[in-house]
Amino acid sequence: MQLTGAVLVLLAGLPAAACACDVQISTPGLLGLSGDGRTLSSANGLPAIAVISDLNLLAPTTITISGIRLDQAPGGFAAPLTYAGSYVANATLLGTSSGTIAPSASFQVPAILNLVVTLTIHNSVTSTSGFPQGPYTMKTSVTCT
Amino acid sequence: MHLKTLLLAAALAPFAGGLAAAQSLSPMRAEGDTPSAVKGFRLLIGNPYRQRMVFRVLPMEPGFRVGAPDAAVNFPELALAPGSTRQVIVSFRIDPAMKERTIGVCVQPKAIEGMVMPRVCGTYTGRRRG
Repeated sequence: MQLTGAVLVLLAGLPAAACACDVQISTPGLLGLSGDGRTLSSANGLPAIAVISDLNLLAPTTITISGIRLDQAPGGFAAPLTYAGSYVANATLLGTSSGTIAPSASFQVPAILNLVVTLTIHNSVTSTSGFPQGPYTMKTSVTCT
Repeated sequence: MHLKTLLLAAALAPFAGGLAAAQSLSPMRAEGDTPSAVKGFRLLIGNPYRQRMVFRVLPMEPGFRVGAPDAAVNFPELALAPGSTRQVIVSFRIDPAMKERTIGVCVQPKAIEGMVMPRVCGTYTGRRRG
């Protein structure tokens, strides 16, 4: 009877603990300028790597990659820009999937205990008039829902 | 006896992976009734990073693209030590003409270096009783 009570208490706490998601950035990524000076891309630098863990155990988790944007640029820079991006998702037991980002991409991860998804993200932004000297940063949102 | 052991093991298994210690947002889905026009939910925000981080807790529309009106969080910004968690309360008004309302809540670092802005978002539904 006591054991049954203990199990019930533990199961009552399960939904809160099981509905979670951690998104950690293991590599922030680095942009590099292409040879013609018109494209800033992580292909010329380093991709960003996000590690997603502690996923929902009660239902599939949706991971969305969206909102590629130039987060920082020198003052007055207002050239028309074209964004592109791609991702590779690697999950233990589930294998690899990949796709393009712009404008967004999403995929579902099944509810499996201790599943870890490693997400490698490449971003690029192109300006036909090039990029004046200065600091540039890009951001892409990775959303776990 | 074997059955009892198995039951206990099954109940404890989710906790063995450290789920309770390192989550960023929990629960990620919830619903509940309210006798008034306001519904609140208690959420647990966690810092899985290795350094102190400041997080923003944002009430959003369910698509997670725009902010939700008539919704508030008691700690819209909070600093968390590595591996620590803190409870926040999100509350939102339900239009008297509607029986229920669903909002989203997103947790994201206030500032983070690099190309990725990580967000964890949940959806919460409040229903007017009666």
